[in-house]
Formats: sequence, structure tokens, C-alpha cells
Amino acid sequence: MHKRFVNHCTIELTISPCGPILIKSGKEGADPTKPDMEFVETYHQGGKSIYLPGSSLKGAIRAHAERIVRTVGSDKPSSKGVWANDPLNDKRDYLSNKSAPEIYKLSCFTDQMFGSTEIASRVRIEDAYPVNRAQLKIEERNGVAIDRVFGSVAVGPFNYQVCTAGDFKTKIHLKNFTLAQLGLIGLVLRDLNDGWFGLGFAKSRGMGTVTVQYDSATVQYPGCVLESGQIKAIATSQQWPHTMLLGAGEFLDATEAGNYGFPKPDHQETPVAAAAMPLGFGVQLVWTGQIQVADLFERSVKAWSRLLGVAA
Amino acid sequence: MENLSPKPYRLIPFPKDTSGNLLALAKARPAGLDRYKASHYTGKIALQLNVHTATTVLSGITVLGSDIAAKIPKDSLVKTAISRSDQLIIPGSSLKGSVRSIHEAITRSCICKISRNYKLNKQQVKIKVPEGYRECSPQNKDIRDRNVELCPSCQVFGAINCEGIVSFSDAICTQKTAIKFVPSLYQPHLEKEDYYSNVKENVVGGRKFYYHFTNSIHEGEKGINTQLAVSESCFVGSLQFVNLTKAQLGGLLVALGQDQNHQFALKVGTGKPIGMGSLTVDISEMEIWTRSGAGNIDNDIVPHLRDRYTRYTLPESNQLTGEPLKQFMQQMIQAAHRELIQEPQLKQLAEVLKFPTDRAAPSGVY
Repeated sequence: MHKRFVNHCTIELTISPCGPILIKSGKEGADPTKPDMEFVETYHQGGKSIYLPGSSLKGAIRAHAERIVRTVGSDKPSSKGVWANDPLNDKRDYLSNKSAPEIYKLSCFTDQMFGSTEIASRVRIEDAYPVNRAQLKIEERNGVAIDRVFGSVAVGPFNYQVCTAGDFKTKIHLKNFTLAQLGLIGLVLRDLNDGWFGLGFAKSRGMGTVTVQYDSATVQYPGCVLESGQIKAIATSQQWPHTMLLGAGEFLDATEAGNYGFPKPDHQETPVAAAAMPLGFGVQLVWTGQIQVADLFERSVKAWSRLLGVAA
Repeated sequence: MENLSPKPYRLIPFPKDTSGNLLALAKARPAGLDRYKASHYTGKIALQLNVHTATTVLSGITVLGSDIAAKIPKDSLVKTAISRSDQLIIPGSSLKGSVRSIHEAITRSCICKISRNYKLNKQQVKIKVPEGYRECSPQNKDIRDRNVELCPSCQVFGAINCEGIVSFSDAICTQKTAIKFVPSLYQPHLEKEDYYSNVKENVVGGRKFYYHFTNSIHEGEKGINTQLAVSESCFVGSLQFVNLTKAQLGGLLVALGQDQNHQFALKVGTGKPIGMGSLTVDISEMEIWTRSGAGNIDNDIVPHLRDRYTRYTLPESNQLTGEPLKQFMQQMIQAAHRELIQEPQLKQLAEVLKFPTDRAAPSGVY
């Protein structure tokens, strides 16, 4: 459902390496002083800098989200509970000649979130740029494969560039999201921070682990206004208390929500109060700092658990 | 020739059946990372590496002594170790390589990395591996078709086009670094007959492992000052694993020297022939999760992954420690002995890597 804009969430976060990380550029430059494998670079704030591409972040986040869904759900289409397909090999015949709502409804949970060849993604992840280039620590590491019989060097030595310290800021956007989808993003980010999966090259050699610091989360309802302490939908007569976190299904009538398969009701009470968006049009709730954003995820995960049939 | 010291290493032969024929590799489908599988274990092991002889993994950079230390002549050169914020580290890649080579030797695994040839009398001589022991190297297509089979070590530690399911972090030294003289070391002679089971055909006969010694050598005519961690210091790191079976987790623990009946130390970094790099591993806590399935009887001590993925905040203490940890490790190791470990190879390797030892490091030519 992209024809209407009912809710939007922006999570601002800071990613910092715990040890060495390397997102390879894939090309060996002509500079002979540079190592065999170089970090991806781009121009940012008037200079050349390494960065974490949004595609690399999205790939790692999507892969872990799929892993979670297959673990607690299924890898086959299922009318009960959640499922995740094999996005690279699924021919998606079950979506041919279907209407837009049916395509969304029949797609697996992770395709609904991250997109497929049939539907656009509702999760958007920006490139992560360094907060301060001067604080980045970029080193060179060497690698050799040791000959198992002779103990000498069998392959190598090869050298590669790694970043061992610094802060990278990025944003994750969710458009027309359900609370369960936000909850799953929360679980994935928690696991990224816990080192359950990593980013980039040589993960099985300890590289790629990072910490994730939540800076803020903003949930906006663009089609609503704040009236007498209530969030009120402009186009309909619906209204909710001003401390309510609302999933996409809440803004649709029962038939339309059913066509797409959006859960309804889909709301959670939060300690954060809504405020009017700039220009007086739309309503937003803002969670600031690690503890508040973690609380937002805690509440969203309850919706995710309910979807799995676990009492929240 | 009479003054030669005994060789500081020994070859562990490839596993054979009672008739003396080589056993085939124990190939199977890798577990994959697409989900946390039922009856498999996922978690993290906290590793403490106790240094017994001087240990260092070199950065490849040599600097003037004045750049890093005041106590040595300022114009002397020093080989530096890999470090982070002035603390020495053992990179995850070094630790993984060391543990993997042990795992390969005690299971029916491929010869993962080997030199292809050597030069003799200006002629290139091809080195051969025993029939069927060639490195597992699945094609991308095979992985996508899901018909790939790998040897036990490649299943756990990874192969070309197939990511491993264990991950070793860098281990960080908690004590100050030292600088000691390390004599020059020389490359092995690949043409030596000792390396081959079939000298005529140049077929290699086993995997090389260096003995541990009571001391490391820090004197000699030629050599260089080197940054290193001295004995009694300690490195702290961790090991993350996904989808290991009981036997695979047990095999990993045996390769870390945790089998009570075959305890040994690891050899890591430079200077192995002169006694350097002896480390013992202590495991005091393990975070472990599982997804129940047939035959899973340990859910009373191992939390369920469904609980992890239906709540955001996890219980603060989720670590297995003390006696329950010991019993759990023992259970895994027993499964490894039943399904994975080649007992003759383990016995021989445990003898080579036995620690403590009364063997003195060779001070001269060997």
C-alpha cells in the first residue's frame, strides 16, 4: 500500500565498530600504497571518506530479519503465523495476475517489509557517514593462509584496510508500517548490537561487529491533526488518545485492512505524547535517546509477539 | 650433523582404517545461516587465553626502537605486533586458523590449504594430496542448488562460497607488552622426504604441528627485537557460533583443548619452532540458545530461541557457568567422540600439543 501515506517512522542511530570492519570497494585502485582490499569511499562533507553503504546495512538487516522469521515461523507460505521466502530463488508464481492488495497480502513477511521484484520496500536505510572523519581509525591488516603440511605460507600475504574506531550515523525509515514490522526491526538492531551478526568482510574471523546507539525515533501520522488531546484523522472521523502508537491498519477501514492483511486493531499505548508537526499539519511522536527508543521497540515487539500467538 | 636438535614438530597422519587405507572425508550438507535450526546450538563462548611462552602475531611493520620504547637502544629496529590502543591483540583470523588446523587433524577433513609446488634443481615439483583429500571448494551454483557437501571442518569453519558458522573475535591482551630478542627463523624445506608418505609421487603424509616447550628462545646470532606478550599475561576474546550440532560443538571444544582426557594448549603466532606462542584456553562462561526438536533434552538449562525472539529485553544473566557449564561441555564432547573425532589422530595430536611439557626448545640448528 503505497498510494496513501498513513504513518512513517524514522529511527536515527549511530553505528560504531567494536573491532575491525571492512566493507570492500570491490575494486583495487591504482595507488600502490593502498592495500589489496580497500574500504568503500565516497565524498561527504567536502572530502573523501569511508562510509557504510545503505545497501550493505539493508542486506545484513534483511538477512537477519529473514533468519528470525524462519526460526519462529516458516519458510513456506503460511496462512497462520509469519513466513520468509528465499528471496533470491523464489519465482513468486503465487503473485502472478493478482491485485495490489493481494500481492501484499500473499507476499511473505520480509518481502512485505523489504520489498521484492513484485512490491516496493517500505523500509529505507540511508548510507551511514562518519560523524567526524578525524576520529576514524583506519588501519591495515595482513592475512596469510598457513600451509597445513609444511607450516609455511600457502596463500598470501594479502593486506586489507579496516576501520577499528569511529561513529557512523544513519537513519532507517519505515513507511506505512505495522507495529509488528517495527518490532522486528527492533529485534534485528538488538541482535546487531549484541554481535549476533556483523557487517561486511571476514565475519567469521571476528570482523564486522558493531555497537548500535539509538539517537531518536520519530513516528509521524501525516494525515492527522491534534485536537483536544486527541490524534484525529483528517479524512475520517477516527480518533485516538494522543499517546498512541498506531500501525497502518488503524488508519484503514476493516475491509481495506483485511484486503491487505494489515492487523486491526494495531496500537500500543506509549509514555510519549504526540505533538503537531511543523506547519501545523500532521502529528508526530518523538522518542529521544537510548532508553526511550528501546522502550518504543519493547512496545512494538509486543505486537510482533501477538502475531506469533504469544501473549504479550 | 651430530649437533642437530630433534625436530620441533611432528606430522599427524591422515585417518586410516584397520587395513591401512585412507578413510574418506566425512562429508555432509552444511547447516547454513538461513535460520536457527531445531536441535542445534547458537551462542557465544567467552575465551581466556593464558600465555605460557612469549606470544606475538606480527603486524608486518618494523619501526625504530625510539618510536615505541625508551628502554632499548633508540637506533635498534623492532618488529611490531598487531595492537589496538596500545594493547596487543591476537586477531580472530590467527586464532581461528590455529583452532581450525587442530579440528582438521582430528576429524576426517580436507587438506584446506597447501603449497602447490616447490623448486628443486631449478625444476618445479608438484605437491600432491592423498586421493579424495583435496580442499572442499563448492561453486556458487552448488550452494544455490543446495546439493553441496563439505568436510567436517569446512562445515564449521567455512569454505570458498560458504560462510563458516563460527566466528572468532580479536583477543585483547590485558597486560603490558614487552620487547624481546627473537632469533631469525627460516622457511621449511618442502623437498624433505619426511613430509611425504609417497616420496616418489610427492604425496604428503600428514599435517604439521609444533611441540610446546618449557621455554622460548630469545638469543642467537641473527634476529631482531620483537614486541610480544610475555608468559603469565592473558588475552581475552570470544567465539560466536550458529547452528552447531552437539557433536560439532563438542568437536570445537576438543579443538580448544577442553577434553579432560586430551587436554592441550594452542600454538599461535610467530616463533613456533623456538617455543613461542603456547596458550591454554579457559572457558568460564557460555551463552547458549537452542530451538527444541527431536532428542533435545536440555531445555531446562538452555533457553529457547522462541523466547529470545518474542521479547525485546532479555534476562540479564543468561550465561551457563560453573558445574552446569562443565556438565554441558562434557555432554557435547562425548557426542563429538561418538560421531566426529578420529581417536588415533586426537591421541597423537594431544601428545604433540601436551601442556605442561618437559621438552626444552631447540637452541641450535634442528
